[in-house]
Amino acid sequence: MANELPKNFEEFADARRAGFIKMKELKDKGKQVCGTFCQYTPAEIIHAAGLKQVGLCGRSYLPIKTAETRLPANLCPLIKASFGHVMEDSCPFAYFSDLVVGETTCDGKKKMYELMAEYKPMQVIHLPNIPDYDRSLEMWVSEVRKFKEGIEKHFNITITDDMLNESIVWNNKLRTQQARLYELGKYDPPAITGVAMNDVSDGLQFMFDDEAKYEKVEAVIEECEKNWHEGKYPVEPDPLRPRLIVSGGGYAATNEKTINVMEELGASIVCYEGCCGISSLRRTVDEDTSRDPIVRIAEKYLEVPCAVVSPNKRRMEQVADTIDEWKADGYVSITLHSCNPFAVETENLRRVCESKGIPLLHIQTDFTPGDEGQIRTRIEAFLEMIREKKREAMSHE
Amino acid sequence: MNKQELKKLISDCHAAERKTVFSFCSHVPEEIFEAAGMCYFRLPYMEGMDDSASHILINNVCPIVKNVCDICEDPSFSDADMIIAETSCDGKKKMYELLSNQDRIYFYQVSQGTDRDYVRPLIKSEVKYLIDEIKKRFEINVTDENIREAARLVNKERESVVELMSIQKSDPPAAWGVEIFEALKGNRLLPDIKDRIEANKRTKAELLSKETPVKKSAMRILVTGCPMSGVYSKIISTIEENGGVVVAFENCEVIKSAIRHFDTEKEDVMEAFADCYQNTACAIMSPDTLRFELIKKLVKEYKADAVLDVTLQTCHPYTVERDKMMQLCKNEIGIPYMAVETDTSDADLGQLTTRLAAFIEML
Repeated sequence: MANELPKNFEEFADARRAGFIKMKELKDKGKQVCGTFCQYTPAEIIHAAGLKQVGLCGRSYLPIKTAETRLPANLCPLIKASFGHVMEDSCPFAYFSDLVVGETTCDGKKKMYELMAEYKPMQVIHLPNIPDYDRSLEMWVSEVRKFKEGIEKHFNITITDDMLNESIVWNNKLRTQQARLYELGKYDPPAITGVAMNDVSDGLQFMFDDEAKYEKVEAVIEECEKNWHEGKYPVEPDPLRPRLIVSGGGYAATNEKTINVMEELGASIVCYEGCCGISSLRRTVDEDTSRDPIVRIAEKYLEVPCAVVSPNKRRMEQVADTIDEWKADGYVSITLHSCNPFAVETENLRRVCESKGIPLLHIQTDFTPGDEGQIRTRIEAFLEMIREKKREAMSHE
Repeated sequence: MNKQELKKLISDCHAAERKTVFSFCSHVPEEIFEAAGMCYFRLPYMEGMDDSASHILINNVCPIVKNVCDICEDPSFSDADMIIAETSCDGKKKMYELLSNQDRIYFYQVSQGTDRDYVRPLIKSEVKYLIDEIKKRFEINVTDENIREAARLVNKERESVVELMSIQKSDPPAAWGVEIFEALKGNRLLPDIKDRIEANKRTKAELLSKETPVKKSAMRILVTGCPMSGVYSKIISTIEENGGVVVAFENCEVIKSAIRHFDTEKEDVMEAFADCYQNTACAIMSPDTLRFELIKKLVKEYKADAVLDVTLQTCHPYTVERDKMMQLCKNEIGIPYMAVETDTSDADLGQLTTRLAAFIEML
């Protein structure tokens, strides 16, 4: 019999809503807040500056109408929602942000930030296009350094190397821990459901007490492992259950019609790859304090295998490895309408999956309701195909 | 140009023992290829290619990205020696990664802006990497002297484009905008740069030698926005059949790229590359201050009555920048502005005609 979710999970699932209140309390206590959008944001610098970091990616279709008064309609919903919230002042996290940090990741965001700067104080970090040490590290270091100096100036503080070193160690610790959360999916059956895995990693963005956050994640991981070893699995063991990896960028607002449906229909999401997935967690910052901390931070982020860089060989290698390590039976790429980087790159993912002998499902969606039925049908068909394949493989054994 | 002609263009270059290199963007430092003795072509759009895009790409991507994909995968293009995959917009850079023959592709890195500290060093270093790559692939050494010599010619070609465009400054303009755009489209495909320069000069002389077909009452339209080559005929003819005339194309096929200048006397040629290519008024740049400055200047120089911003579907850099362009025209310059979003099909022709005609009439 499948167990109920450990109690710990609810707090994570609810973290975003609870975060509104917590953030207000923090602001009342005089804490300063840095709103961010992306895995490329050097968290080490924000943390070293003693700022609270919060994710500002829009998740609601409500502010999109407002955003479309200034942005083209044919643009990714995340960009429109994030901008609409700022225009309307309808997102408490954006409202409370003393500074908003953007990166020149995709074209849409990069150009939108130019408009957002009319509403909020902003720092925009320019990214390299080619993720290559020889060709891009120098410019990237220059931008990371400029960001650090910008923070110092904006908040009138000094960020020392010691502060950065301390922050690097702490952020590495957090990242390594979060990677362990994804490792729970390697078990068969997985020691955590994909939905719970997502609740935790997503909720972390909206929890602002570092130590408490760390302890809570630790408790979750320990409990999941303990339960598994005692034979208490979150799902029934089933050799035909499709093990999926879900990938893509910025689709949190679509969870109910995507990842939740996959698990409801009997699949297990064993790992996430892409934005907010395992991609950013496996590479930590070098802790050798004899080297310039800014360079070490830049090195880590240069290796973020996001679809906005080209050629993105690092991601393809990582996808291949992730399929092997997590023993995936299928890959699902969820991309938002008009997201060129992730959607175009999905074709390359499909080729990697093909070489690994597993199928890929590409779901393109946005934040508005209406396509749930169609998505559900496609997921059903995809899972059935995988089950059939597994059935056949078993009959040959 | 059709497929056979494209194939022949490449084989003629090979017969003259010259390598062919193609790019699809004006950020690419073409002086290098000229200096290397290669035949360099910038192809903004080609009709009649086999469809590959619909098999490889998502549907909601800009028509130029689809077209570049079609060109690169077309059998008539299979002998092209080198393709420069510039990392300008998301759609193109990601599309390049999917092309079947990756060996002839070279990724050239474009910066994200023009005004940061990193921009000039990046241009210089990318130029050096490109020169090294040519040496590695084709065993061609490119010296500073070669570059200076080549840059003199490239400058001349750019000047010939600007001079051709300038015939529209007169009142009434000396020609229909479509005549100029089409002439440039053909001239651009001549393999020898000297021929291209001559052809542009000849076009100018020919247009000036006849009486202008344009009435004095025609509304003078400055066209800006995305690369126009895939949609120019429906856009320009609609303007010019409805009481307007295009006085200037700010787009990257024409003025945007041609106003740049390479200082051939500069001691350090790398600095000259940085000067030249930093000055690209493209929406990929954030912020795109240079484009706004350029529009201001062109409105004045060409005595424009209105600005028409032509954007292609799903081109995020230009479509998101429309808001700023509109503010600039309305609030700062005080000139009527209209934006149209279109693609390479004729499906929207009726709607475009209605809108453009109404816009011109309102002027």
